[in-house]
Amino acid sequence: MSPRSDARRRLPLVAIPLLAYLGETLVIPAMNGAIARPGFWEHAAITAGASGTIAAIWALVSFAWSNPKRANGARSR
Amino acid sequence: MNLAFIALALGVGLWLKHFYSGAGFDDLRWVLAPTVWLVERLTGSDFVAEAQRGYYSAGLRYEIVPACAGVNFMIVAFWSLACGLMSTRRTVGARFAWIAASGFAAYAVTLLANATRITIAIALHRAGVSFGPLTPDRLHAAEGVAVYFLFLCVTFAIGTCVAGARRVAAI
Repeated sequence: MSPRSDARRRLPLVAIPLLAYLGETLVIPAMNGAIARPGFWEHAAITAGASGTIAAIWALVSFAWSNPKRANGARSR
Repeated sequence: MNLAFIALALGVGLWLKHFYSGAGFDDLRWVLAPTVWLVERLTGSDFVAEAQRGYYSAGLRYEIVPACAGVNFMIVAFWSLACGLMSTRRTVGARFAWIAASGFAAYAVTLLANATRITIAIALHRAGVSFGPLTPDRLHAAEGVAVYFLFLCVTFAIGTCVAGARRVAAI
């Protein structure tokens, strides 16, 4: 297996909903001109901040759930 | 072949987004009415339909308008399920069925997520909560993103189990 395909297989599942969510709520409106509207960057910061925080927590919990030994080892270090 | 079905799902989502951009209150009753019914169960308050405007609760002094319909979330949930897990289906029939199932699941989850989001928003509105730079308006926006995204993650996790996908994505 090539390193590239290995990297693709290691993409956390939470990345898919995160990309879909940010794409639909930020990228598509930005492409349609919303980027010039007042308040867009505040909306972008809130959207990216809240969804990114939940995605990070979800990925950490998923990692700890599926790799309990490695998660414990990382904690004891 | 896989890309053709992903393109089909993306097209359906973009069509729905185009429809939503020009839709009024009456066009969105199919999603607003069941959402309001759920909000009424969760809050114990009644909402009354106001022609071409939205649903209003005099007791809560809160209005649910077309912008609250959650159609953008429905599109995200549909895309996540249909496009993100399409590679788990092998036959043409199974892929069409997966797109249809993703649509039904996205609709059902939108009703639950949106009713939850609105119920929490009503509670925050009544309490007048704010935290430093998080004004009531910003808090309302952040609460909406958090509720929607949490429901999206749970939906996708359930979809992954149903589809029999592995823990790591192969996109």
